[in-house]
Amino acid sequence: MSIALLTLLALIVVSMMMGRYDLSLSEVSKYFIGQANSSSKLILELRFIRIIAVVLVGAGLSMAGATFQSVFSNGLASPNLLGVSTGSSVGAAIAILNGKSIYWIEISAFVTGILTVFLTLLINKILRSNSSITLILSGIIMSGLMQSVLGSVKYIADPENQLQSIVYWELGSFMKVDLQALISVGPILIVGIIFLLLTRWRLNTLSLDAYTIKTIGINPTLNRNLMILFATLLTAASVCLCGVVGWIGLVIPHVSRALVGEDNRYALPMTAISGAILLLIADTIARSISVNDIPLSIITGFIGVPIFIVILIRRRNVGI
Amino acid sequence: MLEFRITTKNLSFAYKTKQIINNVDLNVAAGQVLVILGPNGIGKSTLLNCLSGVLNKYQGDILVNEQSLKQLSIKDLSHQVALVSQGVNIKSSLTLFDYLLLGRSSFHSIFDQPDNHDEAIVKQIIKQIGLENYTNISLQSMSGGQRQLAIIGRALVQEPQILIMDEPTSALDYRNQTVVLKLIKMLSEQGISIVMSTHDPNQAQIVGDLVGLLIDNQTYKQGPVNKILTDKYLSKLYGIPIISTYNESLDRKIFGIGMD
Repeated sequence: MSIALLTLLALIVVSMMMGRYDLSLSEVSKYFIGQANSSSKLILELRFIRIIAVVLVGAGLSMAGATFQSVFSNGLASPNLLGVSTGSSVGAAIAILNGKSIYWIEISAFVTGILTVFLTLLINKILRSNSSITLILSGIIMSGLMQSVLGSVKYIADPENQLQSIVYWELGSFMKVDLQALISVGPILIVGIIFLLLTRWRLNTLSLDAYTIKTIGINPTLNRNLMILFATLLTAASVCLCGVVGWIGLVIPHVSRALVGEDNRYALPMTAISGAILLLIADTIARSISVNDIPLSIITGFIGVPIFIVILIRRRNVGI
Repeated sequence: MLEFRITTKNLSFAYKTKQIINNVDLNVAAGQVLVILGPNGIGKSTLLNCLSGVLNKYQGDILVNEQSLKQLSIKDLSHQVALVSQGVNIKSSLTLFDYLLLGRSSFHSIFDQPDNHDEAIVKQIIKQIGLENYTNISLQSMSGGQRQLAIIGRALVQEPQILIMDEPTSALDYRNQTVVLKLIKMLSEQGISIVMSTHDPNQAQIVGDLVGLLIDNQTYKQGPVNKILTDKYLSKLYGIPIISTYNESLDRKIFGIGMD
């Protein structure tokens, strides 16, 4: 765990040095002690804000994925399980269609993301079921509906620039993150991350069946809903900051469990750190290798898929 | 007069319009083992789920240490009553130690981590169920018998006075059945009251102090083992001839089924 944390810190420094203008280690260290010259200071400030956002989103999305996987006892659960990412994309797309500024896009994405989850929970309530399968199915229904809405918006969008912006949003990027965006969304991410870290032992209990949880003396519905609430907040906040970033929330929890075991007391902090590391690597590549930022989901997909295959092979070998 | 740990008064439970159990009056004192017998689908699990607080839309009353179960919080109830569910198929891939530790959840707030005291209790219970060599083994890689012991262990970690066990031996071979039955005897000697269901009258003979028969959806009959565990009652209970013979070397009755 401490090795992972040191790796993350080292990566932050390396990532500060890398970019379209490479800077030396001494320039980066001068920035942290407040002695950088004005030109490198400007670059490093932008990079630092972006890196903080990347670390928070990487940790947040992975923890949201791990939480959903535990609460629903389903290794295929991802942060989009209840439709939050698809819902957010709809909000962002509508804002883009109406030519709104980046802040309106973010607010609109956040609101529709939360609204979608609310509708998912409502469908589940109408079905009067306590089973997690019904909730997952309700999520699929809402995701499907939101996909159709998103398709309609894309269909009527101006293909010259609006459609491009929408597609760009759907693939995720930190290019437009500035201090104001970080200040408005960062606190939600920090609160969500801290809450889930503090309640990580309870997450183990919630992976049992509802009857057992109840006889252990824990209210299954209340506790599950709390976890789902904070995981949803983390996802919605992430999506409204940088669009939809795929794979991280699904793959990283599996990586962490393979590294430190199933106990969330260790697996969840490991998930947070590994998620931050993977997204930081992906974003550094995204902003360094070409003139334009490469959409993140392209890179996380190329990194995530092979990792996932390796984990599945390992699992098959130990017979799970 | 005996002080009862768990008592029911006119306990009835209906699922939608179907009456499952009706007017059950049972009582178990400290250290007693009550074995519930009855044919498949008669409502044994329903009765046990009511007693453990899982199902709460019942009529009548359940008293736990003379307090109405409905007035106890989920947390307070879990410190008095623990359930060993019919769950050899538990899916958890936690290690035995981490799984047992979950039984301590309600002793802490949602933001807490387990402390040394919890870990000491878990270690002691693992010793009691005889799985010291499996402390750090994942439940997934254990046998059915070991997993059943793990479930019992998790319930014991709650330090309950009453243990409700739903067919704790049903999926086990003879050897593992004996391991579990011995554990049940030991727990009752420690003063824990046990209500368990089984399909085997011989087990009632071995560990039971009391036997409760769920004869049909209307009738519950409870009494001491030697009075209730008779060929006549059991034949009526299962609707087939049941014949017992006395076995000298075992020093108890053996129940067998007649095929006619």
